[in-house]
Amino acid sequence: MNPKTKHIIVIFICSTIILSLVVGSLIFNVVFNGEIPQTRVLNDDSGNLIAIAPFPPSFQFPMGTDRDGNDMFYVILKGAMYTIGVSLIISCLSFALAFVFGIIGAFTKSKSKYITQTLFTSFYFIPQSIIAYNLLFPFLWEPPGGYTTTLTERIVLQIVVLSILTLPTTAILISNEAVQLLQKEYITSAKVLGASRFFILRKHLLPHLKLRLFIIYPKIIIQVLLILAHLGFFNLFLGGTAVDHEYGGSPAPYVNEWAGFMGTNYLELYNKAWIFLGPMFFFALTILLLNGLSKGIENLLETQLDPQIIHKKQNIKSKTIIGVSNIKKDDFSLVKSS
Amino acid sequence: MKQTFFTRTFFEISLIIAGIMLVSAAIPLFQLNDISLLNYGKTVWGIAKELATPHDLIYINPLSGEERNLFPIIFEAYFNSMKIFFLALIISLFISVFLLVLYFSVSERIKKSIEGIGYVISSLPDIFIIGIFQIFIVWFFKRTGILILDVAATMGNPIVLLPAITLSVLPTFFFFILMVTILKEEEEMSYVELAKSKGLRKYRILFMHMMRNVLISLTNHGKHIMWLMLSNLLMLEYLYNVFGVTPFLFSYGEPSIFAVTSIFIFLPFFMLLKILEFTFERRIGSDMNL
Repeated sequence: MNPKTKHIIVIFICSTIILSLVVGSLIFNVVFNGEIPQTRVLNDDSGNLIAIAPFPPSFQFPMGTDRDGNDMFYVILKGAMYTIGVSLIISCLSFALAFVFGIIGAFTKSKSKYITQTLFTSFYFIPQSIIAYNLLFPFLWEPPGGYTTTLTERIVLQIVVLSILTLPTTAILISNEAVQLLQKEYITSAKVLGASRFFILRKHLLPHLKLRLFIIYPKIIIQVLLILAHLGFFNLFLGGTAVDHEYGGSPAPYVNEWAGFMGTNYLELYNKAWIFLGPMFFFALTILLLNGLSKGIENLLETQLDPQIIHKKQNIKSKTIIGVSNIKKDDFSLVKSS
Repeated sequence: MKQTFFTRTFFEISLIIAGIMLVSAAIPLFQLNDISLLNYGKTVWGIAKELATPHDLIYINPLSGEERNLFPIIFEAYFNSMKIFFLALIISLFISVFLLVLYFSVSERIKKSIEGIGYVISSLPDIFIIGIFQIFIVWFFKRTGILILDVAATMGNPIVLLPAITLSVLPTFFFFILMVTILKEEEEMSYVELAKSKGLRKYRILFMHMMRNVLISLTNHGKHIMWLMLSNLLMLEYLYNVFGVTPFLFSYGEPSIFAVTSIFIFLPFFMLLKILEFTFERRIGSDMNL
């Protein structure tokens, strides 16, 4: 198969599965009102009680049920929209801002740029999920008297905070990519010919950078997904954590999404493992698909940018190894004399 | 502007510490009723003052409400974390080199599948790997009655090995994939051809000649690997209940404790990167800036 078609197929499969997860979740939430089928007890034909929830994965419940008898498959389906959707929004915001700052950073060469970049390097040494936890805790953890903010406010604030948090590292990444491209010879020649910065950006930088950005973007989504999941494990959920101050029950999420579900059910790992592993599996799958997407785009670009690569690969195959005869009979054909 | 290596390093360290202080000062931002630049400035100044007299810092345990001086206690936690981190780093380097040798001794088709598996594992989320490890050990215990390693730390029984092994999984495959990619590029270089034509053995070329260049490229990704491992480490400490630096970072009330802990975490890693950079600059003469 042509390597190019192979990469396109990979990209197509990865994006289709992610999209169908989100769209499926959207349909389930909007058309079916997100009602999860619940089975608390199972009876046999004569009406005798044979089992109570949680049920392990079986033919009837492909992914089992949780302790309240909610079918895990629908729980996961319901959550997909929120988790993937929110991380898409956050990464989009952060990416757009990082693009602006990164490009500005790439074009400036002053000492102040060096200073800002080194200052922001500190973000590499403090894990972002910890900063996010500390920043968001007073806002998301329900105070004893109940919230003074609405759910939407909290979600919006969380989105803004997380996009600002992922901004510095993304900006540094984009800036480095741009700087690499700006060092190419054709940029220097364009400068010599008198091109303005804006012209270089539009005509010479963007066409190449655009392709590289497609590789970076899925990685930013992954980063955001991981921060959300970590926050979930630290009991800070999307849109706030419901805390039972009176009776001291375990913290619960307001929004039915994956990170919150995984965080609250982590201890199930030791007894009813499927309750935790189901969402975990889908979460990992999403990240794998995003990685596959990024890798697929990268490979595609490599074949596109370098048409010789196909040629080169064929060359490597036909390399002769010393001592081994690679000569085939087909290599010799009779040349007709004219 | 030509700076010597040491002044540049010193400058960078002070800048990053300043950066950490600025980040820490942002932490109590949402607790204040009016978010203003003036308040932010006040917090930064407060942190700077408290960092000047570190032995007066007091750490309040968020669970028990107990008050303690930060200083002797943080060292114990800190060394626990560092033990896990560096053990994991060493394990992952060894295993990835071992995998590399394995990779170079199998046929082309198996190579492809090893690469594929490596890529898939290296892109799994950290929490997934922690979960799988814990469930595997519990399952093994239920089946055979042999507890391979303790799954959770208790008082007076700190665990190091299991967290270190878990932590080493992702970097192992990350290193491995990176090394394979770099080696593929390196294989086409003319010095490798020359060495081959001279009749040097495969592993001699691999370890004596190519590995040096691979190490340089590997260190270029150093910051990224540290970053990946660090967030992984904190997650691990939290889920395995290891007494490490993580609880100190959850002190959302006190930005100065957050700052101190972050600076402690940052220093050895940055030093390690800088030492590597320095050695390469000296020995190989390649110019890099990590």
